[in-house]
Amino acid sequence: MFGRIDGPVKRKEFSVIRSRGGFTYRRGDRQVRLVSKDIALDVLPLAPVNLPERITGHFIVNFDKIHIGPRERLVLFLKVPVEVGVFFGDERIDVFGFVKEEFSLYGPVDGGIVAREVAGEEVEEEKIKWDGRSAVIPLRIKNYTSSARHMSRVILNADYLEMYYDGKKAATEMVKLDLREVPRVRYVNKAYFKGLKKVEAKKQLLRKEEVEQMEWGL
Amino acid sequence: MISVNGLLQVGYGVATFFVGLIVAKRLQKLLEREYRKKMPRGMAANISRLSYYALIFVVLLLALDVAGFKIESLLVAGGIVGVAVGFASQKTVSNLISGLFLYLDRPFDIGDAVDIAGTTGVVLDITPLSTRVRTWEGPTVRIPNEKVFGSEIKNFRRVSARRFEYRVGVAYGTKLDRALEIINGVLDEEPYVLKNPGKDVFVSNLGDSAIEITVKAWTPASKNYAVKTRILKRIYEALTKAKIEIPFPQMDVHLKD
Repeated sequence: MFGRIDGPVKRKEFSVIRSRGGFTYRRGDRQVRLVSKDIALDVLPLAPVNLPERITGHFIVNFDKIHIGPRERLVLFLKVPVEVGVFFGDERIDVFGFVKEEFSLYGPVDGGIVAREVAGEEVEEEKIKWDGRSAVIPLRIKNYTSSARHMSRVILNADYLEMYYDGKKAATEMVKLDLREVPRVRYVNKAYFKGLKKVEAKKQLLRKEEVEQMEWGL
Repeated sequence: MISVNGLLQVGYGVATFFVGLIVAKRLQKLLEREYRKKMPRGMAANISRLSYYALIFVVLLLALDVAGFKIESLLVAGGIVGVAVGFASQKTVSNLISGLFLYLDRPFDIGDAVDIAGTTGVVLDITPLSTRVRTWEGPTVRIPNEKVFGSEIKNFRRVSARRFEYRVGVAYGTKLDRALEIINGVLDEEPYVLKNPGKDVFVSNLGDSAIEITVKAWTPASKNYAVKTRILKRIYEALTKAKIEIPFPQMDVHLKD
């Protein structure tokens, strides 16, 4: 699914055919004419924030509620739906997804964040089924407080989250959720799964390691 | 005939003025640089320019004093002129002070979508004297800062989400559960209707001509107008397709023999 296309191709989701002096990319009613002797399209996994159009960089991953004791830690592997970006050079010619888009407000009306909502399915690291439609987010949760905490969601910023891919595999860097008085989310900026290629920064709008607070709850 | 002493005094006065001028100019630049760290460029330039003129006035008085002029009489004359100018520039000063208060209060920034005293649009510029707003219809409106400061200001940019509300009337005899289900379905299909805070669809009034259903839903602030206009059409189409009548006000008149 993910990777480079360097010739005509016909897939379930889209096709690339030779046409007048170049190629034509087709997906449903969408048709893009590409004028080039050689075709080189990059099909890349993107964080789910671009559809129907990009109005926010944040997305909330919901998962089954977890209770975590004081000073305890665990690593979850959350499978979340991705969007697929098709790039001709640095130009994105198409983006599509596989799930219905839903948005929520995280925090108060005045100053809160509008974020896309996605379902995160917890999977075991050894039994991950790569399907070319979702990415795995390794989420390390550590409770730094002296009381038990519970959580069922994490809010992520696509601008800070690095994405890696290869064939049907797509995964993000490890994300650290530190449970302090105000929980905070940190991005490690390093691949967790070995052997995957990184989605270029300008295509994913990445920045350096960043930290964000989840001041409006878990 | 002017004495040598008198000439020297005038010379000292002129020298004082020019030295003062150089100092004032340098001070203006220094102040502007410092103000720029704390406020918008335009405002910093204007405040430092005002400081410069005030300094020039002081330097001029000092130079006249050094040159041997009696500045008391000049001050009296200047005072009278000042009062006259003060009266004439009352509005300007009021706008300027309001501009400063607007800077301190910061109810909006350049680029914010606002409603200022009934003028709605995007803030293009905030100068010490006025605020320019490009209205949704296109023209730019210049609102004096005095009016801006004294008005009720709605800033739409500072909110992440906005709610819209409709009242939809359906005919008496309509299966209300079905009507509510259809309206909820239309809202569920629209991605920009927020899941949280949730939507609210309920029968709100038994009116003269129709049963009123109130529809309330939240959207991202930037999408509010588009969604609001899109959804109402879809609700109408969905209700019409389900053969649910949307009545218009009517009155049955019964005539007695």
